[in-house]
Amino acid sequence: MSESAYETVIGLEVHAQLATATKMFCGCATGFGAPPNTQTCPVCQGMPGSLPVINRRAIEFGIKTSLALGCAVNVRNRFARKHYYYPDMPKNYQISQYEEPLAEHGLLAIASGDGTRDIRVQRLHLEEDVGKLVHEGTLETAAASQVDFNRAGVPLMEIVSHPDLRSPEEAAAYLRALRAILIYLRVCDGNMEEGSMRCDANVSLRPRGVAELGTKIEIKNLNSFRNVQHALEYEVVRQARALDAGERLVQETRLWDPRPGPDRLHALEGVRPRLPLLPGAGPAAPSRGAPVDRRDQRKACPSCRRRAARASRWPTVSRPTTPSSSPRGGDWPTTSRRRRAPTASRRSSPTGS
Amino acid sequence: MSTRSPRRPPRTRASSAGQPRGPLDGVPVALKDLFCTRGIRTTSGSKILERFVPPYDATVVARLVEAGAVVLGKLNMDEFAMGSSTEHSGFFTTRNPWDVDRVPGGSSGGAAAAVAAGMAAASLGTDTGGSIRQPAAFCGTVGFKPTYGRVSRYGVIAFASSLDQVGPFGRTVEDVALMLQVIAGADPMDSTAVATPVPDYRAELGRGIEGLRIGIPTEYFIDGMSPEVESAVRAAIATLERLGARTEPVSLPHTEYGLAAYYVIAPAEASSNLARYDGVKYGLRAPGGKDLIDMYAKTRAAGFGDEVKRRIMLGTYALSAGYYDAYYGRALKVRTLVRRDFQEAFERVNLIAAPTTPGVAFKLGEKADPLSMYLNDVLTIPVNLAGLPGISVPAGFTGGGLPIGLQLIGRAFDEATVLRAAHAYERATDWHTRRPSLGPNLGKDRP
Repeated sequence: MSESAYETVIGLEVHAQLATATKMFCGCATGFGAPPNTQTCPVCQGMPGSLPVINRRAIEFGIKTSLALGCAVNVRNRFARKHYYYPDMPKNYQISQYEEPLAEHGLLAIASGDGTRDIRVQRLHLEEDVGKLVHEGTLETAAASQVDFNRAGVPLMEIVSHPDLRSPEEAAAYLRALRAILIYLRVCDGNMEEGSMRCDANVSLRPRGVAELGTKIEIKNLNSFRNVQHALEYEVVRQARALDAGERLVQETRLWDPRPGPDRLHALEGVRPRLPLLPGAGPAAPSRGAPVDRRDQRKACPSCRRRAARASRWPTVSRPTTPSSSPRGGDWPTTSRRRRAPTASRRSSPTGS
Repeated sequence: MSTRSPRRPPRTRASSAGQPRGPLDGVPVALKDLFCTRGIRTTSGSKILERFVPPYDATVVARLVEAGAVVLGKLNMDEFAMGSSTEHSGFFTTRNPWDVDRVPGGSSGGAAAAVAAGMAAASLGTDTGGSIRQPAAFCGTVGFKPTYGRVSRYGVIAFASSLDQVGPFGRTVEDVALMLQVIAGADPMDSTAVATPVPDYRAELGRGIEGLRIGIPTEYFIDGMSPEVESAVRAAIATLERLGARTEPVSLPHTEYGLAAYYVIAPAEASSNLARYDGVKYGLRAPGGKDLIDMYAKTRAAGFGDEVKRRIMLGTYALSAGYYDAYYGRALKVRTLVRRDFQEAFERVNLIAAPTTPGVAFKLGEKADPLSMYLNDVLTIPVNLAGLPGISVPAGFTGGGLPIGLQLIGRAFDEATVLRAAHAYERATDWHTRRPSLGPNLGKDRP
């Protein structure tokens, strides 16, 4: 058999960074390219005692997009905690939406062949982004890694399509159509190079005429239209060859390597991380988790205004791959000498040491 | 005995021209060591945060300081508020001022003991399953857990987010009312702290309890309860009747399932809340990790005590795929039933009166078995599951001179009635005026 004996089935998960001025659950700025850890506060650094407060604007952007995609907006939607350990995630859980997303059941019309085709949107939900690891050297050889939490807590909107796409070209067309809507609504700048729009693809093949879905492979790290199309074309050929050879495909996640080479889709992980979910902000009373306008929050809380400046005092530089031989006490001043370190925030502190 | 001085000057600004800075001007208070204090070490009783210095103040700390209170220091507690005796502190055991061979209760043991011993005029604790009311009963002080949502939890190191609530300890109901007045109310940094109007609690105190309907839950007088506790609480109820309240029996039939539900919900939430202590960002990082996972494991193994580890394991199991519905989901259903019990009772009565604990302060090391320790909270836990306000006030002493607590439980956000009844009872008795004799043996063996 050959490629054409199979039908390609593709579903896309698009993460769009919302163009809000502040983060999903705190008042920190969201601009791209600031010096590491300068746009952070106790909330987005996952400090003990901090609590998330929902950004009203992010909800509005999510609803706008939902309406543009013809989704049904769930009046009752809920945040939950998705748990896994990774150093770029300050709390070791991500606040996301799971069982009760913001919106469901939409449609997106895409160009296909000579006409258009409606692709079903399964769900749209909001979540927080994670930070960024900066490896000294490559991931494999790095002696040390550092964490930048500027991106941690930036609002993300995840838009999940049904597996309705039938070719890599259609996948690219879907992305173009979606990006145009997001940019038109001004909810996302659509800049794929800076990561404002990211895409994961699920792809499987099945013999033509068969209704049952084949084993799907998830491809991550697709940061341009070209990458999406190339990676999917590559994967479709790989799967067709494997199926021709009688191999059994195993469900896995692969990482797209944009550099030319013999094997451009690396197996990333065999199994998905275990994700116990726990209702997030206020499990006892989800309705109480009312979104706030950040301006009100800052007005009411003068310390929030000082927070950005103060945050720079708390270096989050860490070496998760080679822990140092001593506890990190040095970064957490306990001696009076360190406490008097002349920083801007210390001078403005009302405690006066 | 129980204060752990941060060796810092009091957190007050220069007093301006002799004007009182606020309703708590100059009042010396102390804080359970899980309230974040900017520039002052905050450990939550755990080795994993032994050297953690928060860059920000908890909302309640800011409000106390704003009101003029002088923060004396931070108080010992069970690690991450998990325990009923303060024996599970990562640092040392706090003793009961009434008998130094006995526990002060927990987890806010330091906060109760400090007030009982006269080391602070008032203190702040947190109550997740009884952690204010039980130590208040054991130490002969007043301890009040307000309604969930009445007081901001911003900057309070979380144990179980849907149950945790901040509340004051004091020698009298009036002191506790003053403290609550200052810390209560909405907070833009905590969306669960609601904007329900905060009444003038002190003004409400004097209104008396003539005609108040008080329910006596039959399920709260359990088998194995200390006879001295039972008779003291029955006498206290008789006093309330004498003051004009009408009492009637009420039934809270799901009480016995509350404990089991709590020990699923609280550890589940704790396992999530404590995931952040991983050695990457702050606090302890254990040396010698071969790689990231090894560093995580070594840090958490070294930093957490046995009780915390036990609950993280319980909670992780209860939330894990395939068990979620059977444990966490089911526990939430029980929680709804417990809450409904109270709702039905409060259709007929204004207040519920019961013992705070089945017994009095036990000996250090007496409850080595975790289950017997957990049973201590059987009469306080349902109140947290339902999110209601509950107070413990001194209601007598055993023949051996150990304090006994009366618990009064109110409707959601009706702290005023709880305080009013507690105040009326206090005025009619003199238990709150007794002080432990702080003899030369106090604090012996202190590390």
